[in-house]
Amino acid sequence: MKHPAGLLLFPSAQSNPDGGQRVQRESAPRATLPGRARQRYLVLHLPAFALERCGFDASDLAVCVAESKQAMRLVSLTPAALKQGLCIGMTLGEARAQEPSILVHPFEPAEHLQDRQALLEAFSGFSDRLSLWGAQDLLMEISGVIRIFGGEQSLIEHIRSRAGELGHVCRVGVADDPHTAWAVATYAVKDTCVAVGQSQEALASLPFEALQPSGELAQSIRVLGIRTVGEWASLDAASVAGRFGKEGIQLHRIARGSGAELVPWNQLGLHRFAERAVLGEASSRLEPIYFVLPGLLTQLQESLEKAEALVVRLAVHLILERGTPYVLRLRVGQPTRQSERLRQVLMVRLEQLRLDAPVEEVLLEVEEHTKELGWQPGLFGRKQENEPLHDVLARLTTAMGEGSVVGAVCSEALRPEQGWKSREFHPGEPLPLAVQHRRSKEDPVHQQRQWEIQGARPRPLCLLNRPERVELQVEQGEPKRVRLGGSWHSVERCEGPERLSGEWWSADGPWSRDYWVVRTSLGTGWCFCDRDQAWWWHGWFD
Amino acid sequence: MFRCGRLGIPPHAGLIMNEGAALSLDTLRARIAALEGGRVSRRREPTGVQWLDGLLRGLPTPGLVEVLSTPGMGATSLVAEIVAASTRREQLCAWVDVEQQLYPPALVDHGVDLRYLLIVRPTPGHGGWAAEQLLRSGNFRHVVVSGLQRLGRMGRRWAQSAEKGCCSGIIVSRKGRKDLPAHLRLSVQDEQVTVLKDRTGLFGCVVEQPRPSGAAEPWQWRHWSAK
Repeated sequence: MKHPAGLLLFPSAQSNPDGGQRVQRESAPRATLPGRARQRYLVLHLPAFALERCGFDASDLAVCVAESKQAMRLVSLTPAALKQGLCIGMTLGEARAQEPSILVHPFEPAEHLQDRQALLEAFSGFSDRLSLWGAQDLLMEISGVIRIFGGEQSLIEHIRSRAGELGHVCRVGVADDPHTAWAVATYAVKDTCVAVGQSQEALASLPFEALQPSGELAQSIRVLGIRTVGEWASLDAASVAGRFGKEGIQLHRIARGSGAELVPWNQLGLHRFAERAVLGEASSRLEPIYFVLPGLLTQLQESLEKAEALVVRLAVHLILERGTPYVLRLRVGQPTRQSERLRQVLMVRLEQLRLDAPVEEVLLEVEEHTKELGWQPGLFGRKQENEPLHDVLARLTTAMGEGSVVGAVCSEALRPEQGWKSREFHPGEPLPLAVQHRRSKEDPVHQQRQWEIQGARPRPLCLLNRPERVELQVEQGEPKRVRLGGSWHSVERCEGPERLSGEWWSADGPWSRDYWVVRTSLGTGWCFCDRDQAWWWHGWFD
Repeated sequence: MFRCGRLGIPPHAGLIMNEGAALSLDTLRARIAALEGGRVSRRREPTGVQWLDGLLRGLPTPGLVEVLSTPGMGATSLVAEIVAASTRREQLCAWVDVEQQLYPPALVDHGVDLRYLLIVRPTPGHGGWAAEQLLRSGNFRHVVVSGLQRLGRMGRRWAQSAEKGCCSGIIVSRKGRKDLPAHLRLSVQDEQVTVLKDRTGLFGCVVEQPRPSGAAEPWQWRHWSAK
């Protein structure tokens, strides 16, 4: 079966559709494993995975940063940086203030994803039941392979050795359930192999955060003064259920060493939706991609249906035979999981694609999703003629890029070409007001401003992107003839100058322009004379 | 989205409110006709610009209007006035600005409410397609296209899209296009509007284009310098 994270997994020996050999191979060691009452899980904790893949060592003071909440924030850091008091979520400015010598590397989600896929493949020889767990950990179900490797300790040594070959510092935890294995791998100081049935004892001394509670629950527990998993486990189960609900019950069971059966294997892994398909033969043409796309989208739709989620942002990773993978990102106007609609939008984007190398693999990943909410159709319901506005805008944006489909808002910039800014188009949404400075009426700045806004200043409807240099003859300080389109035209009428200047504080130096409204036989235009007495054509009063 | 009868609007109301915008019963009938796939009846929809409505009784809706003019002769100003009247009534308009020269502060001077204006600055080769999508979507009262050099077969597709979306497309051209099936063709020269093509017998009518009340007259503005 397909895992939500895109991995090919076998849910259990009994339900394996392949049957035959594989069932026999998996079930045999289980039957012969003496005293085996539970499954065993191994978590490989790679504390500096993202940075080690970027060429740093765990001992380097290095961090990965990405833009989040309008700031560059730490998303990954080495153990050495962690020791210096840096933490994930901290802004880069704060981190630099605390530790000026840190090495900074930008976080690339697509490359990180590729690295994680490579990690999976690198360890796929140890077990066919493995999954990515959290941001930098790998989870394996090892019940069936312990005997092959000669015991758990030997298996741990093999895995450590493999991680060392790949250049990763790691810590390993083995336990009866994935949560305990993850907790001991992350919070213990060395590799830990929890004996069968000893999960509660192993977890008791760890901090409560080792159970990965939600922020709200962690806050509640902190208020109660509970610090360790042992203290949490000692609480009465009925009281926990009454106060902390479903999550509380689950974490309480894990803390008491009976959480394994609460987490079915096929729900483990990342909370992300991704599907992949390896093309039978690498191809530079788009037809094979078109062929696999509907199937991948249908699988994605099924995964999203189970989770009652809708796609907001989707990425298509095209893994090339050589060179860096090509990533197509698209944002869906109205969140949806309908494979047909997604296919149509993707096809529009793919049509414009020029591939540099043959594609080997196609990976669809939902980069952003949202909870499904009900939709109330309008009066015309089933045959609604109008396409939702956000769908139209999203399609145009997808085809032409961000910034091509915008609303506008006027700004107070001095330069005419900076007189407006684009904004996201939300019909009817109030425009941001210009900053109102409170000044007294006697204030000369206030007086000047009031004087300036008394009369409307002429502004052309068509402003050239860049002013064009023109030849212009001046007589008695006024434009008389102008050369446009290769021929000279008499100025029938002119008004000016409107003197605009400013930015004396900027590094590029001040600017000054004398604008004139000029009428010729071609029409009425707007031109200016700069500080160097050069004339420029800037727009048309069309 | 719509409310009528016992759901909100009294039965005698002549207008039905659609997210703040007034839709006439004619518009609704046209939309229903479009839904049923029948022949679309074209009519003149008042623009809200008095002098223009006095001349033309409105713009053909659904349909295409071509405005011919050379730069600096007032075509954009005419279109801005039509857009301003629509946005004042909280109707959405879109402006496909192929040459990327449209200057929104001047639009504001002409009375355009920027909250209801979508500006599309298409990448090369996408101008016609973007206009078609906007016309077809049915979300916009007017879709303006300015600066598109080559039209090809796009004109006929625009006409079909405008019918589907029940809106009027206004194309600002520098020269007449034979391949554009415009229902109304106007020429703007020296602030005079001439009807070049019209099926209601207005061919050849000329009217002076008055200056929009909000816009600054280039020849009557106050001198800033000490001249």
